[in-house]
Order: sequence, then structure tokens, then C-alpha cells
Amino acid sequence: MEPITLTVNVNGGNQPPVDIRVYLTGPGLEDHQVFTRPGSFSYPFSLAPGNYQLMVGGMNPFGGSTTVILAGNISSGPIPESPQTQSSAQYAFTFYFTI
Amino acid sequence: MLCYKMPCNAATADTTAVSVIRGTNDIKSGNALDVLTNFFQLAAEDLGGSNKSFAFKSTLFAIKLRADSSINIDSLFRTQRLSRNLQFSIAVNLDLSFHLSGFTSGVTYALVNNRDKAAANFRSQAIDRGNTSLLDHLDSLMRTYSFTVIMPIKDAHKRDSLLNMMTNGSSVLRAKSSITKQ
Repeated sequence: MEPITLTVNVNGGNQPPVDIRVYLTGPGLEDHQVFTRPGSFSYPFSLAPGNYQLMVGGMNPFGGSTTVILAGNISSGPIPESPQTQSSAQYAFTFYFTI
Repeated sequence: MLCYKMPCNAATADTTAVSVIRGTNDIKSGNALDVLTNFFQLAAEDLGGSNKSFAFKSTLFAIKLRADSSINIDSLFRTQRLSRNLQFSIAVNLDLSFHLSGFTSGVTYALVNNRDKAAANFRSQAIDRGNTSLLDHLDSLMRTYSFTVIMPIKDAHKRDSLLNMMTNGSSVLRAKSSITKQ
């Protein structure tokens, strides 16, 4: 099992107007997790080797932005600890990675 | 001389346009401008008259934000209640010959503050349910497509390229990831 940490930071002061939703699927389609958080958070996953799809969706506070950072021993996919930011009113980050 | 100023007619509400998101123009209290989180105001008054003045107004939070931008993250923002509610102003008064004739400073503190909740909260409303439904549907589509169509592709380069096209530019090819980890 590999430790993977998902960090979501909501910039702009106020809490986002809706909860942040996180979808994790893999390996294959057997393991599907969905959870929500009201604001910024850091969540540690312990994942078995395989292919994963991770989606983080929500809405930004007025004039704000959301930054997502995925960290851990990823062999294919996003650069670990490379922040991704979206400032649109509604957003959905999608990551595909292999452990 | 120390005086306490209460902001008045700081903003005029436009009642003809109704917006679901409350911006600074929707708020009548000048102190509520901390919604911007970066409130600096420099004003010059009556420069051609006999009583000239220069004034600077800001919040403690805006000053702290200059030194540490991380306090703008929502979880840390909530802990900065004192800084956000404390607004101060400094004014210098000059006479006709630009000689110092007076000095004014003011401090305003908002004892009751419900602005954080009022700015925008769509939880349990139609927009929240619509957003959840849209994200669920998007996840289902992408999950099905990626795991049943793209993942079985044997050519790693072609597979990674297709996956990258489905992301927000956040993913990189295997080669770049390997370089970073070395």
C-alpha cells in the first residue's frame, strides 16, 4: 500500500458556497470512493498498486480559486506535489495516475 | 486627536439587479469591504481648498496578508476574525500653504459579523443539488470511458496521451514524471 496525499486549498477567504466532492476510482472499477468536505482539507489515502482516477469538483468562493496538490509515489500521472489551480466559478480537477 | 469614524454611504445598493452572489456593492458597511481581503484606500480631499487632507484606510488583515498570503485560505481565514473586523484610518490635514494643521486617526471594530456566512452559501439549495448531480454524472462518464476504453490500450504512449487529453492539463507523460522523481 502506497501513501498518497490529496491537499485542497480554497483561496479567497470565505468558505466555498458548496461542499467539495472527491471521487476516487481504481484499480479497475471495483473500488469507488466518494466523499465531501466543506472547505480546505488534506486527505491521506493508502492505495494498492494499480491505475486510479481521481476527480475533485466544486465551486469557488466569490473572487477566489482552488488549488489541488497530489503527493506520493506516483509512477505515471501528475507530477507529485505540482499544484493545479482553477479560478472559474465551477471547477472539476481530474487526475489519472498509476502506483 | 483620536476620533472614531463610522462609515456612511460607503456603497449604494443596486436594487434593480438581483444577484445570488453578494459582492462588495451589495454591502452597506464600509468595513464589509474585507470581502475583498485586500482593502487599501488612499484618499485626497479638497486639494484646491483651504483645508486639504490626505487619508489612508485599511484593515489589519490586509496588512498581514501582504506578509503571509496563506491566511487567505478559508481554514486560516476564519481564524483571523480580529484582524478582519479591525479597520483603521489615518488622515493628515494641511492648510492653504501645505503646512501640517492637524492629524486624525480612527479605529473601527465590527462587534457583530455575519458576513462570512452571508457572502455565498448554496448548500441544500437547487444550485448545490444541480452541481452534485453534474459532478456525479461527469465522474460516471469519465470513469466508464477511461477504465473500459482507454486503460485496456496496450500502447502506453497512446494511452497516456488520451488520458492527458481528458485532464485539465495537470497530467504529464510518464517520461516527465520519471525525470522529477530521479
